[in-house]
Amino acid sequence: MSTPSVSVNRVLKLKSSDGEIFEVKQTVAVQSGVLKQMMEDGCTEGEIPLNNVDSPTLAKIIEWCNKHHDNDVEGRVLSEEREKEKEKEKAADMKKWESEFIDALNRDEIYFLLTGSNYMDIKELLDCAAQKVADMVKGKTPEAIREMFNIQSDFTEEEEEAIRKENQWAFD
Amino acid sequence: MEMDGLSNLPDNIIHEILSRLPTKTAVKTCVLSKRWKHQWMQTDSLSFNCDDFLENNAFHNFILHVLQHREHSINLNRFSFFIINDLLFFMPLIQSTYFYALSQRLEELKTNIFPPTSFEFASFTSLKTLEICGVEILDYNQFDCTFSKLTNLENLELTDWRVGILRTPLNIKSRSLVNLTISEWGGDILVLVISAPRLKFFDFDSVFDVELIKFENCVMLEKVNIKVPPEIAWKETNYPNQGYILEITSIYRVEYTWELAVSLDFYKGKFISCCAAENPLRFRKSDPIEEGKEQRMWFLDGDAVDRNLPSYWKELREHKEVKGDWKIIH
Repeated sequence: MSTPSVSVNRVLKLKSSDGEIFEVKQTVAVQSGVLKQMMEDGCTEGEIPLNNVDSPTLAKIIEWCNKHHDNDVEGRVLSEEREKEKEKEKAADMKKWESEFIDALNRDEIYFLLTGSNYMDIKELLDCAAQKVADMVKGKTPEAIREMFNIQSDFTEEEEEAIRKENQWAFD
Repeated sequence: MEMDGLSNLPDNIIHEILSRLPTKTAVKTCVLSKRWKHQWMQTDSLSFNCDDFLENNAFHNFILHVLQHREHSINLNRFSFFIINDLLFFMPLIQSTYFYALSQRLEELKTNIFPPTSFEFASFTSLKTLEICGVEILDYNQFDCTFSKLTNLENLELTDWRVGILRTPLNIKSRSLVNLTISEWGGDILVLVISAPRLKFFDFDSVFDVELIKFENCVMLEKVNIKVPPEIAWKETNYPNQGYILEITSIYRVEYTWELAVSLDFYKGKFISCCAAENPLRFRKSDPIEEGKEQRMWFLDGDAVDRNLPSYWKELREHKEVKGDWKIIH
């Protein structure tokens, strides 16, 4: 497999589940494992339908990818040393940006971001969103978790009692 | 009706979420709904901490329950294991827990507990990341060979170690190590010798005294951060012939390394020596020196800057071990 012909100026046309078209530079799109594979296979002509990702979610995902894309790659004007220095400055800023990005989302937006990043295979974004949910769940009782995420229990009282007993050491 | 914000997620995402939780919280999700009943058994990560439990017995039984019901075919990648008190009470449990972990291809281990004598950290040969914190040891010797046996180890973090008064050096030898962090060091006197040809980043901060930090064959070294507390530095000024000595030797292929940044935070009156065996290291300015109580010096490949400590610098230049091409910019 030869390296994909990723050119700076070429864009991909991504079509969200609700029919909206988003243009994304190829150099940005490589962060998605799925799109990267499609570029390698040379099948990115025309609109690429993303049937599991709606337009608000896709907009968020693209915002993330644009932020995580190193613009300097394009010009190659920076000396290697300068690039290195920039990289260091960026790492700290990026952490801050990531937490602000994820904190601004509501519960449903996070849900769709999780499924969207999973579908498009963008590992860093999936990690970040999963961590956010874990932080929300941490320290909560099952009742509180149910309420927070609107989870309906389909256990009968007896069934729930039985499973609590089975795992009793977690419920001291 | 509002949608269920979690349960419809694919299994792999649910496992991603559960693997980031303390195992006790993860197990508790079993009562959320039928969808959640067995999810906790399928994560690739376990995190046990006795602080999450009111009683020793509950903690003990919880761990045995988890180890028994976990889906063994799913490899355990990450394992975090912390017990503060009653180590004797927990010894059989520790034994069987580590024994279980040994049966897996563990990549990450974070703990404050030494494995029982029948095996050691060196047995976890698949480890990439090892964090050991809050341990008390009398003798470094048991570690000298441990790290070199972990042939996949890339990240090593030693936090809050309390070490008796021993003048034997702590040797960290590893052919694979990339990141080394030693923080809240509570050893009395430390001579640290690091021999790690792939090491790029070294971070160190100490509560107590440090005599010598020596790098051998660390040809890939990019960044060194050393921080020692002001009160120690103050104490040291009474003994002008002693001080922190940082020795960097054998960076003979320095031209192939990106850069070497050494930053030292200290109060005053320190000696620092840097010498390279074949190529003299050159230092140059990087960041501006911070105003205030704490004096900070930054070194990068090139020249050196020292605006606040001209007299100190003079001492440094007169120090007989100092070699290389030094330049002061005012």
